[in-house]
Amino acid sequence: MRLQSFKYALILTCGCAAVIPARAEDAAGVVKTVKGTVQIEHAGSSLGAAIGSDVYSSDRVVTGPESSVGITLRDTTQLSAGANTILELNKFAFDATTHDGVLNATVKHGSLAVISGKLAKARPDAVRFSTPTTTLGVRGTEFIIEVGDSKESAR
Amino acid sequence: MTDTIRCGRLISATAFVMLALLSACSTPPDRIILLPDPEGKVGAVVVRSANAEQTIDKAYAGVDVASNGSMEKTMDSRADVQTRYSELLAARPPRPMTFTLFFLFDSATELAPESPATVEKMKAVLAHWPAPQVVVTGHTDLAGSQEFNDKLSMRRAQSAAAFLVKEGIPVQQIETAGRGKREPLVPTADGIPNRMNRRVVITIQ
Repeated sequence: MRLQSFKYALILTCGCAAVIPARAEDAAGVVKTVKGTVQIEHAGSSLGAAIGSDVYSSDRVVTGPESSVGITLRDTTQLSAGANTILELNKFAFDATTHDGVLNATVKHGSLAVISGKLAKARPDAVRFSTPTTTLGVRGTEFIIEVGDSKESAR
Repeated sequence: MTDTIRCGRLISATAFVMLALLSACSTPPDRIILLPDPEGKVGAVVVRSANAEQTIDKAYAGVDVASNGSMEKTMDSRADVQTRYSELLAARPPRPMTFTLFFLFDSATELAPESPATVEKMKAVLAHWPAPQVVVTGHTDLAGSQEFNDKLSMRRAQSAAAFLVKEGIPVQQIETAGRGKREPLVPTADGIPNRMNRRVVITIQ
């Protein structure tokens, strides 16, 4: 009896391990370029970014002085953040079959260059970039956002 | 730029009232600048603040947004933008590249004979790509129901992915998706068979 329940427990553990999806599958994007000091804040901890690092919905990306990072999101949106930048990827979802989803990012400080991807093409109203003073609606394009000396840096 | 210099001089001249002056110097505005794509095409950005809205739709046109929400349109030159933002632009990820594989008949498995040459080109690109992701997306023509074509496009993606693995592309770099009949290469009426629409598009990103 005892042996049997032990067997079941073993089967359950193995079964669970097998169905846990690969972490990369729900990543919003992947780091493609890194220069200097770049941190990705994910679920309360901060890790140094490297080429190949995953970025998730709700992550915060922070670059230091003379630093930069380039990230390609799953829908092919290409982002690059310049020095002293705080970028919050508030929300990202993308369905590769229907091209439905959402992209909502905030540049709190610093600079960001954007090349819009499949999501902006299929659902322009689902893509939103913000700064402390503005909200941008994107109609399939490339642009630069530079935040003026924001309060955040003075703190 | 000139504002900051002027401010700086004033501050050093009257250091004892620095704090008062600092608050008098207006914060630099947030700036949005539109860029053309590599073919020179320009989209549009709608910029909204608490009390204003502007649409920019020309290359190197921009909007400055002050902290009180007021906006001013700007126009830069290509050279200015490339100098001022050279570090930012240099950090951009490589632009995704796409490759298309066609299927011989109304088949999920039989690829057109030019496919191995396409794969050789892909491998050359992948060799220099940072953290490459190969997204294999199956498509169908407009014959048949959405449900049927969703499944068929996914089978096409999977058989193309298996072909790529056999040709030496690492399986962990590959993702598959089926787009069904939503994105035909050649637009046709619903229900029409078309060879050009029975394809797999591979995006290296």
